[in-house]
Amino acid sequence: MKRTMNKISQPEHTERLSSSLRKNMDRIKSLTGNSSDFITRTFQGANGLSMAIVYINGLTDTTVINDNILKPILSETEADMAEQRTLADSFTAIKDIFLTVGTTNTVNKIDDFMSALYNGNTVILAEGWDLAISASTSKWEQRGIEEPSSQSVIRGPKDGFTENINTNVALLRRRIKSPNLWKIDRKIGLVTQTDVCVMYLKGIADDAVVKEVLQRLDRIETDSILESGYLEEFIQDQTFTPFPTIINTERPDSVAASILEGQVVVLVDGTPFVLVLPVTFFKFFIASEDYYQRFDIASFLRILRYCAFTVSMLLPSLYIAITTFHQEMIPSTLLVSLAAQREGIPFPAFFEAFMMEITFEVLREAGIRMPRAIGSAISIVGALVLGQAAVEAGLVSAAMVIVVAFTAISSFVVPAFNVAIAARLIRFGLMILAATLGLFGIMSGLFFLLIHMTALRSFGVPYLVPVSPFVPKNLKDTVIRVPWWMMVTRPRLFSKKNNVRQNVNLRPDPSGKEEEKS
Amino acid sequence: MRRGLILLMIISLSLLASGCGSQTELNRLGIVSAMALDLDENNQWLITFQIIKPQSTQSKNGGGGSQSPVTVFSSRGKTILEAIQKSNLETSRRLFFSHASVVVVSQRVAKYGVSQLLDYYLRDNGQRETANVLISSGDAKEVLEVLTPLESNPGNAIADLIGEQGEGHSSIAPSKVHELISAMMNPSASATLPEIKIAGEGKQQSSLDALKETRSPAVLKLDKVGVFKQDKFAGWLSREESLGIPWITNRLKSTTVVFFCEGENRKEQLSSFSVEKSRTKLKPTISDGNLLMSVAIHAKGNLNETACNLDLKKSETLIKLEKHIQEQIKKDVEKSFRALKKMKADALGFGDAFHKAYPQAWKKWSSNWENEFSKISMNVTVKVTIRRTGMINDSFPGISGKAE
Repeated sequence: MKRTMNKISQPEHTERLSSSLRKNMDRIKSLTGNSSDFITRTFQGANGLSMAIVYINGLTDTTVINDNILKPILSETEADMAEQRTLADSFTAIKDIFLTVGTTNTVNKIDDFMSALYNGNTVILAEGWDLAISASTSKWEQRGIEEPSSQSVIRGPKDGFTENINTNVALLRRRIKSPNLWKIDRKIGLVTQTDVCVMYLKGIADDAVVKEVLQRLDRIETDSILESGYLEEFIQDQTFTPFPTIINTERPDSVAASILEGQVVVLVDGTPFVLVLPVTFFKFFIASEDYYQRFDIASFLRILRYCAFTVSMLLPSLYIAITTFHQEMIPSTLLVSLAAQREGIPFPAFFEAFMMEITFEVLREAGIRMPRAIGSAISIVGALVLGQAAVEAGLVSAAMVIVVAFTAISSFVVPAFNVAIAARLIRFGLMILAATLGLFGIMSGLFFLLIHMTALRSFGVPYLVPVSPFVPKNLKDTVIRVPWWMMVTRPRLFSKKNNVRQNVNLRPDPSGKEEEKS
Repeated sequence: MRRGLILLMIISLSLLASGCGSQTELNRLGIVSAMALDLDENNQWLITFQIIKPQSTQSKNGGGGSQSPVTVFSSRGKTILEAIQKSNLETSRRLFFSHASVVVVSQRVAKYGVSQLLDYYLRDNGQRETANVLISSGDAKEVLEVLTPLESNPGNAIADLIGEQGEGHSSIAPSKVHELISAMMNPSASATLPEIKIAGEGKQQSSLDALKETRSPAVLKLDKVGVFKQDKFAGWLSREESLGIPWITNRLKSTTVVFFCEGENRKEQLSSFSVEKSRTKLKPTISDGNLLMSVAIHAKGNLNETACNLDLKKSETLIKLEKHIQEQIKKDVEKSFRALKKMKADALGFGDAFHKAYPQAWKKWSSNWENEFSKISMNVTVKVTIRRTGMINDSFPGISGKAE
């Protein structure tokens, strides 16, 4: 069953501009349905040529149009005009001499004409030209560079990507000042014509991955790309998995670091979230701050994150399994106290846990969706009504509230939100297994997950590298982070060639022995 | 698609089919904290369970303190398991034995033999071999009825009694089920078990009112040591007679030796020597066809208390004191040895030592080890080192200048 996309009316790629100014103007008006934000102004040039400029209101800077386009054209002197004997002369004169804007381009197709307008350019037409000049005048309202709201750090740069792809590229260029930082542009989305660009470090990134990314991007034939999440689902290796195989981040520093390690990044216009690929499972546990803090603290925090992830995935199911199947594993005193709390609880432990987990998920979702103004209501309702009151009413045991609360807190420790969500989903499956088969059920569930994860690939890189397959050299920056001077090589598998990152003997040596030797 | 559907069905059905077989919610469990075994006149097992009442520990609703922390009930059966099964007739909850830390057997059961009990312990997967076995000279069930003022869970209190004692006072016999089993597996060795006894009016201590008083009408107390031959109870060793056993078996971790500072001849004032480290070497020999066991003990420790006027800065004084301690330890050891010899029960590991040293001759002795053991002579050499004398040097009478 093959469906072809039902294309909406669009100018043919081959349709050229006419030499008649009137015809061109009519064509534009009919194409845009006379939309009022398309501003057209016809005027008589100083040389008597009848001309027009077209631009979109809101995407352009009117001062630039007035001062750098209209003023020079209208104030041509007699002498200038004398040299323009033909139409072609007037065209080149205006394009190359009079316009005082950054970039001018020649446009000869309706298609290009329109896209020039959408990019905020002003297009200049004249009677008798079958060409047009597009002059860059783009300027629109946009959010400034702010601190990323989804990934905050204590130490580290506070700038974040914005919705403008050019700003985002600039943020990366400012960090990596190398001609080897290559950028390949694509326009994806037949209707939205979204700018997408792929950036990588030539000579360090794996060319095969770059080729693969471009190939997957070119395959996409859709009407719209509004966020990088659209792209992510089109290009990822495996859809039916709870685990993400592409990282998204709004931190330019971590994207720059990824590029320097040989990863490829995909920027999408209109969203601050940049895709980084290929990735491994362990990359999701790395915060950019790990590289700015001291290595021992960073290593400790990483181990903490792995533990928290495990807790957020397993704690409720372990609680269910142990309290309903394996009571012999609980220390006697704790068992008695847990049993005391469960006295008079009408529901089985599984139902109790399930109820509380769902309640928490509802609270979390409500916290995100609801208007900021009533935000404090959530914490009151959540903490008091659902925590304390539920225990006092005898609906849930106090221990269960602790379990759910700790699980919830743990799930926020993982730096990447999409992996934390994966743990949330898996948690429910494991809870069902725990309630039916006990620890045996949890173990079988975990084995299934492990098998699944070893089979996952992200653009050809096994998901569990460097643990499986075992790459000892990559371990220096996985569970722990070694001091910077020890990170001599880049992670293998991302960058197959040119592996060496820095000199070997960079260990600080205050005794000055190095100098004596030399 | 079809395959996935079938797989999904298999998985979901198998989850349902598991039927939550061994699943029990915590509030459906009767947590047994201690168990007592008696034999009645008709040789039927009378098993008493001490079950924790979790709601009694809940202090929030004011429930704690107003009801007893445990409930005790008994059931009868021709076998141990039958008795346990019959308990279902009178308790609303499934009995859960994994946390039973104490098993008390009456002297009558011990005389009848504990092999049936041990067999049940090894066979049943709910029972733990880390439980402590204790003998009660009276009815075992009465021990479980005594409430302990400091611990809300009397079963754990008994287990702690043994555990704590093991740390501070090594004279208590090892009493875990697995230790008992390994001692009984050895045909030449005898197992020992500590006695638990109720000192005072046991009946009065079974009510919560007793806990309101500062001095309990009755306390549970570890006392004598019961000696087994094979799986049957053979007799008691008094507290004094049992003191030497851990010295010989090299199980002693720490203990206190009380001795006369002027020696046996002038029984005047007493001092205490607390042992920190001790090592014992057994050396079996045969002289003129007679078995001779040389026991070499080396103990190190501190002088922690003295009532005598001593100049402890002089090494001669310390050497003299060491000699007196050595005599005291030697006396304790010989006392235990004599008592066990009379009982013909080798609870000292001598059989193993001779077996290792004379594997050939052992074949001859093993069939009749009881009698051979009673003919063994023992030669004890004790070496004591006083490492420190506490935070003062001279004894207090010496400092205050009152003496002499």
